[in-house]
Amino acid sequence: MNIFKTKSFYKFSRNPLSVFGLIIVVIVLLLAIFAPYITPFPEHVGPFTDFANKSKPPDSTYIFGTDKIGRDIFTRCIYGYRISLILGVVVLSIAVPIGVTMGLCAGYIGKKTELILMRITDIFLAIPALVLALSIIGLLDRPNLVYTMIAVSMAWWPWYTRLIYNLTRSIKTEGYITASEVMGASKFHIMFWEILPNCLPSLLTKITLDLGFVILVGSSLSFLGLGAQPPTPDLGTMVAKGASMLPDTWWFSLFPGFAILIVVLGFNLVGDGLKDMFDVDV
Amino acid sequence: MIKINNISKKFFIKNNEVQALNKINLIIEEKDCFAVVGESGSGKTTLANIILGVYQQDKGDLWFNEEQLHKTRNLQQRKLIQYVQQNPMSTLNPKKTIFSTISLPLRIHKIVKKNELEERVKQLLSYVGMEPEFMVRYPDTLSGGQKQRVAIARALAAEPKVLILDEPTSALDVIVQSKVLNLLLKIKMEFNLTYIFITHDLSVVRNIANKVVVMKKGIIEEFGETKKVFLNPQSIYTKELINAIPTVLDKEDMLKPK
Repeated sequence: MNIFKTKSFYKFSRNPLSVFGLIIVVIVLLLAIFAPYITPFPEHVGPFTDFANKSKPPDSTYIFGTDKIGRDIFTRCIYGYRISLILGVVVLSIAVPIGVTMGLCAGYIGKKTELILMRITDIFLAIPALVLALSIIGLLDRPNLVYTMIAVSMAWWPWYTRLIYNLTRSIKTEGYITASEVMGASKFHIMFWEILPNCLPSLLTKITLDLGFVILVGSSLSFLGLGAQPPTPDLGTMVAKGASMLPDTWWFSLFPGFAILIVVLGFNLVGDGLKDMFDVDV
Repeated sequence: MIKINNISKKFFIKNNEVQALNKINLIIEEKDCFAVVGESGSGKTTLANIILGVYQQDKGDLWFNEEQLHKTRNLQQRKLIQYVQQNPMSTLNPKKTIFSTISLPLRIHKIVKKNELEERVKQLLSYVGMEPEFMVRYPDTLSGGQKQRVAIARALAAEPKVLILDEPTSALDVIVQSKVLNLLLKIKMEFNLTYIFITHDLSVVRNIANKVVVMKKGIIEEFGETKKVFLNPQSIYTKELINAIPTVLDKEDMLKPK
């Protein structure tokens, strides 16, 4: 099936906001991938100082200005996208398989499995994601990007369990599931080859929407000093460092903050478009 | 062939006990076209689901030849009994191609080698009167009658001995209904199948079944050869059902019991 020829894709392409979101996401991805070739000062990413050019406001050489040790903020924002996108992809790569497997098992296998898995999920859901991530990082050693990824993943999987559980409960009553059972298909086959493909539209939509939120939570943790550590260019950390200098050196915080806003907005608009395209509720 | 021994089944719906089947005894012989008729809620589908191993009965036992069947069955036992469902809209997975749907039983039961799958699926499609081109299509591009044909091909793929047909034509229009019924009769002869035909359409029963059981509220009202039951029904309920068959000609009306 060619998705570009479907009615659903036509619906997506006719929604200007979704197309705008898609353009933003594609541009951000390209900027992150080709950062070493696009950015004017790639050496400013590491432990670099240039006190002669410190705290310079935006001008033609430094379009976003420089920070208090003379590093180009534009370069660091573009590299910051790399960290944010890696965080989003890694977190969802851990959270989605755990959540999906738990949801399929809880929804399909039987009452005892459902009871155990859904109560565990409810416990995790009862604690707000940011608070849970903060607690997990607190339990781990000193903060770094890997711990942030683990902590956010642990806070994120229950939402996927809840989504897939609800979908599985409704799909398992369909005739083709009974037909597979009667035929002798294994539980594994029914869950992953019969039920899961029918959950994909909702799953893809949620993943797209969540990429933005995960980046936001990751940036919030960095803002609190619990994410990537200097000199790694992380957008949340850059906002935090610049916040104490407001309003005098406004460009320290404004441009990294704007960069976060753009990427989150892009993913949200694409997610909303996918929601309409697949006609799903997540 | 299939022996149903004193089977009972209860359901609890909103804390109310519903006796779906009450001490059902039946024997279905090889090559029978065995019709199960009755109004909605009479227990027809529950009985089919117990035979298929979807539900476990509360009491009684079920035998296939000399082998007792339970809800948990091995692959060989699963292969013996297949079914075609009532609703063509939900019988096929919308995310699977027709090839993937029909080849599933072949893969599960390892009926043919991997490189022979395509050929076998083509063959099964031709049995049900469909072109090989349908293999790459998805269910949402098929009509109701075509979906039922695919469901029949899928059931045949497992090489079963018994086919349970749960109102397979009730969701189809009259012309397609007759085509599907003719196809089912052809297949029965060709593959020496035993049919358990669940329906509330007595005119279909009269035309295709050799034995009929009439059910009401989970019990058997009447059981016997179709001709005898239609000509000389013993229970009042069966008489009412037969009299309710819509007729066009006086000749048809005269066949009804007085």
